[in-house]
Amino acid sequence: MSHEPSDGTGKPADDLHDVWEALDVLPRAAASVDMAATTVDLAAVTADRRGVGDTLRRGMRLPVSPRGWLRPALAVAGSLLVGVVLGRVTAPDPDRIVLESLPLIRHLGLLREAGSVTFLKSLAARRSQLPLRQPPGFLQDDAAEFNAALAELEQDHALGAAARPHLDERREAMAALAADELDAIELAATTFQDLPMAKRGDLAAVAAVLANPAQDELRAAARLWHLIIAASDPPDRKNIIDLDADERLEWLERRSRWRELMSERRGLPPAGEGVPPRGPGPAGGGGGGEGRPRWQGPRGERGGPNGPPPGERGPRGDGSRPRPQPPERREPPTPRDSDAS
Amino acid sequence: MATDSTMLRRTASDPSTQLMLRVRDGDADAFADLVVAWQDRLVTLFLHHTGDHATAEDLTQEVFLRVYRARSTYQPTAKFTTWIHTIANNVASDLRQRAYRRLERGVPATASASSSAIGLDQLAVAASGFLPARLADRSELQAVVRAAIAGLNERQRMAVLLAKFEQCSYEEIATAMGLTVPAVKSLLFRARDQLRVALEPYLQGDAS
Repeated sequence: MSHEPSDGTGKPADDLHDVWEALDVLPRAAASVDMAATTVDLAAVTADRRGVGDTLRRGMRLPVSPRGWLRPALAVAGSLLVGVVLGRVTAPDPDRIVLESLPLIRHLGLLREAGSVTFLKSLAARRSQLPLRQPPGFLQDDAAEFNAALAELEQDHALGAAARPHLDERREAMAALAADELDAIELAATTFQDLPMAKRGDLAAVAAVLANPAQDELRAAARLWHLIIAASDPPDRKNIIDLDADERLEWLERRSRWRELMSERRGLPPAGEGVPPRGPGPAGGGGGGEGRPRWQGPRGERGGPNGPPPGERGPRGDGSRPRPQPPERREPPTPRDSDAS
Repeated sequence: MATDSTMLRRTASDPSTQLMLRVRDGDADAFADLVVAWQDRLVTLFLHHTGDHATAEDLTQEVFLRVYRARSTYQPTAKFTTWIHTIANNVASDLRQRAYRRLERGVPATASASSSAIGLDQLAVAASGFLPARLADRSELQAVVRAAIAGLNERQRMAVLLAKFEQCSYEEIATAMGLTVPAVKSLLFRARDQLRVALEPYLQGDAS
């Protein structure tokens, strides 16, 4: 480590020699074992989202003739006006929507984590290739918690399907809840109502599957997925849950491949047993917000459903490593021709 | 501008350049290899620049993200080493600017983002007046050297670290930091002088 800077001809610079040796006491640092995997995941996720953003931005730059925009704009405005009037006349009572969907809203966190029946089926099909087939000791509490949540869902679903309680009864039951429980349900209801209709349908299908004891395989797949998420870093979990079915499977596959590679290179334990997989990291800085009245997510995520606002880092200093939010204002430099001469 | 033959030679001789070209062509495994090959070097650089390991890893990830984002436009017109050092310097500069903005807004800067990035405890050790004769412990000498490096300004510190830990030439440092070669020489001369003042008592004691 006694190298000194040299000029272009390779001539040593003598004037730095006297303090140069002293700097040798500074140690070489090593990155965390899982840093490379996290970086690769983060790069992939960031690139995906950026691609979407670029597409959207390109879409916004479509050339519009100055003369041609007035008529479509008037048509859109007219349609909006008609829509608002019709909506006011025909819109159902919002409370009614919440009450009708209450079983889904109460278990929204659990259902969103499971994602979709398609995903659970895919996961079940490749379950034997995945880690955490048996929960290690540090995940026993998460496994028990998942089982409890599943039992609650089963009970609620059975009541909803068989007894069909009158909405007034649900309204009264909600009125009897404590303020914080009511707040949590209200938050979850808002999140639920903001979901696209297709996604709500997915969640209803997931609820039907998870509440059905006959669907052993899919329930086991959901449990496995819960443990995989619970074993990942808390800051990563929301981003993993937000992935769609294909992205989740791709993440799992990439994770498995990476673990194999790293275990060969660094002597890590082989892919899986007891090794917490790392997620893609909060590309948007967190920004959660779904309510979890019954299901608060994997352990360690608790302490507030809301992450920092988009574009901001989460709080530091808790021992975990927040992932950097790449600044958008400056592109990486292009290579410079430093030594062409 | 590098000639085609220069580029070909560079591509053929530099493993990192070869990896980067594979990354450009969509080879995900090559990116993983690149990260593995470079992460320890960058973490070391940023650790001694900021004094905080977690921040060093954050900054290292940021460098790789920028590399990945720029992959499609990558051309081996410069050594990959110089290119990634340029990005690293930019990332460090961004950290400093963010710290300034936080100060302007009245938000206390974190230790890792402050201009004097080494911890106060280390500075206290360095300034506590313990005699050179006590410098039997390597870790104590490390604390002194860290404090001395923390006393450099940001650009001096980066130049010293690139020279020492990345073994960059003046020209490579100049390219990475957007300076002229004479400016780098001047920067390093002043840095060396400042380090010598800070370390002189300990170095003499160590030698005696």
